[in-house]
Amino acid sequence: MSLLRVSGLTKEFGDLTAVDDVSFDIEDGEFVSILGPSGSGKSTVLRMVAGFEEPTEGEISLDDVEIVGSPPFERDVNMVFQDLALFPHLTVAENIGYGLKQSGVPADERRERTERMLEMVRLEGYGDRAPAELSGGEQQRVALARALVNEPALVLFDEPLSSLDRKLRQHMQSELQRIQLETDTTFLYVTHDQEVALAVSDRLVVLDDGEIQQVGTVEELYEAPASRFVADFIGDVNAVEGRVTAVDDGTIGLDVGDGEVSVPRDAAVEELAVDDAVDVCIRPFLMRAEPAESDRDAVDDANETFSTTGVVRSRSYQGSDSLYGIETDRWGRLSAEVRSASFDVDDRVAIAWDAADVHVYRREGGAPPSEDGGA
Amino acid sequence: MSAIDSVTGPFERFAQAHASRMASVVIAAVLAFLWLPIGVLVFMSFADGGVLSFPPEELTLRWYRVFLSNDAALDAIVTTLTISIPATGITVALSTMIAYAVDRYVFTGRNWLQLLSTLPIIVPLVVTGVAMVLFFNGTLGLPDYVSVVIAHVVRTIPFATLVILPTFISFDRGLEEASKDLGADEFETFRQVTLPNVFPGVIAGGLLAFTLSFNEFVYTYFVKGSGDPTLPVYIWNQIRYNVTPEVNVISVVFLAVAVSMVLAAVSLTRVDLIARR
Repeated sequence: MSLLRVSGLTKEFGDLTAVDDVSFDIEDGEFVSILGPSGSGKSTVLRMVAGFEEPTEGEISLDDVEIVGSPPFERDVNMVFQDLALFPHLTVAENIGYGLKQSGVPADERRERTERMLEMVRLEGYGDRAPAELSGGEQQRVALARALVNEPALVLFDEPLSSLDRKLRQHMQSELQRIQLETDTTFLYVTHDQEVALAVSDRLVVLDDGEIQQVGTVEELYEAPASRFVADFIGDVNAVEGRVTAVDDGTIGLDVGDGEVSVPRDAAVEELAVDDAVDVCIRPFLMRAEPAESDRDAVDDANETFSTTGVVRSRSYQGSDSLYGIETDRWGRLSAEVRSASFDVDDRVAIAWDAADVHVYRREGGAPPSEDGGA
Repeated sequence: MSAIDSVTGPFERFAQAHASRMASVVIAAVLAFLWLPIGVLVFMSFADGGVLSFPPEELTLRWYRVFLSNDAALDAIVTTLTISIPATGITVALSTMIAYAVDRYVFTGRNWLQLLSTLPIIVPLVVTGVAMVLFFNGTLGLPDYVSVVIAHVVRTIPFATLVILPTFISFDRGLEEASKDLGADEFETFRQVTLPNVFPGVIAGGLLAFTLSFNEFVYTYFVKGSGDPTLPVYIWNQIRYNVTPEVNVISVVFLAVAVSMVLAAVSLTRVDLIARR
């Protein structure tokens, strides 16, 4: 039995459909993220689960009880708000104890449980301070403690970490995971930051323009993105335009500019037909690059390899690897992630990748690729 | 240009070299003009001798005793309070409602309401004073007391509204959502979250209203007619005929009222927590 079950959820604001027929389940104890660009409707989904917005259509059930229509203060759900919304007129301890006070927990027990929460988020001795006296990271912890103290079935997060700097954000991510394990609570986390989402979640719900693009584990989404959008949104991806020339049992034949490559049948998640315009996507870290001796000699038109030559235009250092922006002769600008110090800007390189590593998506309304097939 | 330069040049150089010192001098002068007379006044309220002469020969509480045994002056204070307290209450209630409405709701005439409620600030006091005499006492035939209270409300509403409105506007409505999320219903949320956060503004508005009302002279003088004088009117009557150090004592009373009001308000609210924001 799923803890949270969202089905057919739709929210319209006037003419605008912010959330369009969204359905997903969350199991007890899971850490699920809703990931999407701003304006994708992810916060609206969260606010409907919390009870701040009424769905236009659809159902939300928590522990098999329908909760649409019940006010926020009757739902067994607590939220960590984007701007935290700590009460400025109350101390840290009073902030954390606020929920307990509302449910009539006696003062002694309240104090004890607040103290335990302060310990859990490692803020012992901060109880009497004003929230404004705390640093950004400490305030995050208070907001988290305040949402956890009621022991809700589900804790919602509305991008609370987005205001922190990278170092602190990474620290808070691991704290979130630790606390989730310790409290054995289910977390639903909303963010536009794929790095955060990949780092903390068991499963992801990718949302774009109010619609679900894909639901799955982090590995599934990264290794088998269901659409070009998901591939783009989760990690970097290169896209090469192509046209389907043949489809048989095991392979798909592709015309990618001046050359034919055949890719495995399962590189495409959807049914493709001959003459379909497609995007061939490849992760930068799966590309090989080596110095090119002359203009075309490294181009290997072996049937199961994509290859071209090009000139290095940019370089972005990422530690042991660097991301090289390469202006290719066949497919325009691509980026390849290889060992640092391999090339300098303006070097000529030969790049290649295996057909087994690509994903192929039908291009929405895509015209057949032009002669030179720019990316 | 060069002619102007030769005149202003040296001055400008001087100003640039001594800018911060000049600024300090100006600030000191302004503060002195503001506070020295008040300091002297407080000091002189302890002066012996029947005339206002500085420095006094001896310090004494004599004029405080005179004041406390002066029934007319004490009556004037009571009269002032019987007007100021209800006027302040009415003003705070109305200003809070105006501020709430202007902040929360979009309605036709919203801008007009805001404008009309603050407009009386710029209308000359004497004009409004005369208008009120004609309207309240003449046209409507209201009793003096009612007219004066209404006059004080009219005088204080713009100021109270201007003080209270920003606290509503700056109040983060997300706090109300957080409160409901944590299990408080609408009423408990208003009581435990909204009210404490706008309270400092409401109190500040009330203090300003009370202080203005307690000191109000022009409207009172016009509208009150021949009834018991309020304290400002009483002082006015006193210094028109004879100046005694008792007037100093009454001024100190004004000062004490204002200061103790502020202290009371600070202790009533949790301004300290909010101020640390």
